[in-house]
Amino acid sequence: MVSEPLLSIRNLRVQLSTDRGLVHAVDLSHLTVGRGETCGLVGETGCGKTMTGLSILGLLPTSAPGTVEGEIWFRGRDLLKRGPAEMRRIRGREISMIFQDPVSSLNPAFTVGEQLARVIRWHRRVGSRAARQAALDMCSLVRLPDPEQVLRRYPHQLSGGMCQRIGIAIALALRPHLLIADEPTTSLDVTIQAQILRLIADLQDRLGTAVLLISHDLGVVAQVCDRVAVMYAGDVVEQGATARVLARPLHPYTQGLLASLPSRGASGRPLPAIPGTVPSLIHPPPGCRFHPRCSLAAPRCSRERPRPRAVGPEQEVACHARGPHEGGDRPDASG
Amino acid sequence: MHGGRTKEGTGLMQAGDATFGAGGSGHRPADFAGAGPAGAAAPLAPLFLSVRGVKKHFPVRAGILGRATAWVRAVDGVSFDIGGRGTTFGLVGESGCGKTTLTRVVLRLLPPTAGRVLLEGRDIFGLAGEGLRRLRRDMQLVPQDPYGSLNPRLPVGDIVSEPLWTHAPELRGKALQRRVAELLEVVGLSSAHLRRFPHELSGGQRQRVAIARALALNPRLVILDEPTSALDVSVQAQVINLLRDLQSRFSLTYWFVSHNLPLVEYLSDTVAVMYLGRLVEVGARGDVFPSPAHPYTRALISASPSPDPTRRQEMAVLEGQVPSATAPPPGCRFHTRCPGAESRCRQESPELRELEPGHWVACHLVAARGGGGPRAAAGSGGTRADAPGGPQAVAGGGGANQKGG
Repeated sequence: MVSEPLLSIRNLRVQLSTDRGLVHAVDLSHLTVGRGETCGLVGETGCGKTMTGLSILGLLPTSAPGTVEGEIWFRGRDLLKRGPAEMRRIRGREISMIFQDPVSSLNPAFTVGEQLARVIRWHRRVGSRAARQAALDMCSLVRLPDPEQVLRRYPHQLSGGMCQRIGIAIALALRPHLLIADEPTTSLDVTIQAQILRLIADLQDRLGTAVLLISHDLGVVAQVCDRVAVMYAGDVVEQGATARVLARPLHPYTQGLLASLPSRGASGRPLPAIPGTVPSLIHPPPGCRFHPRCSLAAPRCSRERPRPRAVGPEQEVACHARGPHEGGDRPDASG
Repeated sequence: MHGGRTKEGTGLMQAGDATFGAGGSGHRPADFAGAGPAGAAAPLAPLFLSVRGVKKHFPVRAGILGRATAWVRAVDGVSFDIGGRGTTFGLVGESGCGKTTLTRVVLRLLPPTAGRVLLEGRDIFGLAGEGLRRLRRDMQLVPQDPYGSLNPRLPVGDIVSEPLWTHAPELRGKALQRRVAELLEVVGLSSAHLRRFPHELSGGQRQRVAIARALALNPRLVILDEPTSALDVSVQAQVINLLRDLQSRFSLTYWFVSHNLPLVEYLSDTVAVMYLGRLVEVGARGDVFPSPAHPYTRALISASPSPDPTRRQEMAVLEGQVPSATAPPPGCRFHTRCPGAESRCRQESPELRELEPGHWVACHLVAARGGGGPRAAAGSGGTRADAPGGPQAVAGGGGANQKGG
C-alpha cells in the first residue's frame, strides 16, 4: 500500500446476460494488490470473486455475453483497454492463474509434460529440447518427485495434489508478476492443502510473485495472506491487513462470517448464524447489499450504497454504521 | 475369505479379545469390563451400536473373464462402540480413507466382507425381510450433496412423504399431510414449500428438506455424511444449529462423517480418526482434540487452518500422499508419512491400545511411552458424563483372520 500497487481495480462492473436475466455479478468499488504480496479475496459462493479474477485476465465466459466496465490497472496499463492480442501476451507471461479442480483444468488428452512444455515453447519461442529441460526444472521447483516419470503421465494418472503442483508449475513457468489462485486447495485434503499452501508461499518468496488468492475458506486466508478483501454480493465490503480485518473485523458481514465458524471450546453453545441467504444478483437489494441480513441496518442502509472508508491505517470498510473513528487503536471497536 | 460374509463374527470376537488382553488390561477400569466385546453377548447396559472387525474389500477386475486380480481394502478391520443414545459420533479422515465405505456398510447399503455390527443388540448383517425393513426405518441418511440427492421431478411434499408411503402405508390423506407439514416445520420450512421443486430452493433449504425426509420415520440413528460441505459458511451455521436442536428434541444419535475438523470438534461427543481403512485413534472429544496422541491425528489438526490471523500455525508436517488401498504398506499403514517411524513400524501393524480410559490409539510410538505418556495432564476427560460409554474400541482384524487378498 506504500508505492504504486501492482494491480489496482476501480469501479469494476461485470454484468452477464443469462436466460434468467441480467446478472450483476461484480460491482466492485476498488481493490489493490501490492508487489510481491499475497492478497486474499474471500467470500461465499456467487459473491463475484471468481468473476473478478477472470475479468483481470479478460477470460469471462463467452456462454453468457456481458459487459465489463471500469478500470483494471496493472503495471501502468488499463487491462480493460487492451486488445485480444496483447492480452494473450499478458496472460501466462505477466499474469497467470491456477484453478480449483487441478485434474479437470489440465487437458486429459496430453501428458502433463507436453502441456507444461507447450506453455514454455509458445511464450519463450524456444525449441522442444530447451522447453523440456525448462519443464524438468519447473518440476523440481514445485517439488514433484521423480519428474522424468511424472512428465510422461496423463492427468488422470496423477493424484489431485500432484496435478495441482503441475498447475502451479505451468502458471509460474514464465515467472509472472501476478498469480491468481482460484480456490487452489478446495478440492484437496487438509494435509495436501497444507503442502500446496506452503509451496505457493515458498515460491512466492523465491520468485517475488504477487498472489491474489481467491477462497471461501477464512482459515486458509488467515494463514497465508498479507492482506484480505472480503466480498459480498459483488462488492468488497471490507479490506486491509489480514491481522486487522480478521482479528478485529468491522463490517457486520465479516463479523458474522467469523462468528459462524465453530471454534474450540464453543461446543455447548449454538453457532451465531447470519440469518437469511445470499441475495440473488439478478435483483440485488438496493442500498447496502447486506442490509436485509444485517443486525445494524438503519433506514439509510436500504437507500444509499455505502462507500469504502478508511478506518485506521490498514483497514477500510464500506458500512454506514461504521464511522472513521472506529477501528483506530481501540481494540474493542469490533464489538 | 471374501465369500463367507457374516459368519466370521466369532473369529473376530476372538481377535478383539486378544487385543484387549494385550492392550494393557491394567488401564481398563472395572466398569468397562462388561462393555467389552464379550459383553456384547450378555451386556449390562446394551450398547447402542457395536462395530466389530468390519471389513470391506472391493475386487479389481481385469481381463475378459473379469477375474479379481487385486482387492481394494477400503475398510480393513474396524471395531468400536457407540455407547449411548443421543450422542454424536464423529468419523474423520481424508478422502479415500474408507469412511464413506464404512458408513455404507453399516447402513447395509453394501454387503460387508467380514465383521459384525449390532444396533441395539440386533445383528444387522443377519437381518432379512421384515427385520431388515424395520432396520431401514431406524437408520436414516442425510447425504452430502443436497443438489444431487433430491429427486428433481418431485415437489418437496412428495420427497418428504416418500419414506412414509413405503414404511407407513397406513398413514394417508389428512394424517399424512399433517405429518409432512409437521416435519417441514420441525426443520424450519413451512407448508409454503410443499409444492416447490428442489431447483427452486437454496442449498440450505434443500439440506433442510433432506433432513426432514430422514426424520420422517423417527429413526434412532441418523447418518450425516458431510452434511454441510456443499453449503456456504453463513448457511452452514444455520444447518448445524438445526441439527443440534433436533438432536436434543428427539434424542437422536448422530454418526457424523466429515473432513472438517473444527466442525467435528464442535458437534461430536466421541471422535474416530480413520486412515487407509483402519482406525488410528478413538476417544472422547475432550481427549482427542486438545491432546491428540496419534501422529496422524496431530498432523490433521495442525494442518487444519485456523481463521485467527494472530495464531499462524506451522502447517504441513506431513510429506507425501496417502498410499493406495490396493497395496497398503506393511506394518503401520501410516509409517510412509510418519515423521517418527521406526523399524518396528515398518514390520508390525499396531493395534488400538487404551491410552487412558476411553482413549484408544494404534501407534507403536505412543504405546512405547507407556502409562499416561504425553497425556498425563489431561486427567479424567475420558469419563466425562456427556460422553456416555465412549468407544470401548478394539482393533479387529489382527492376525486371526487376516489373509492376503
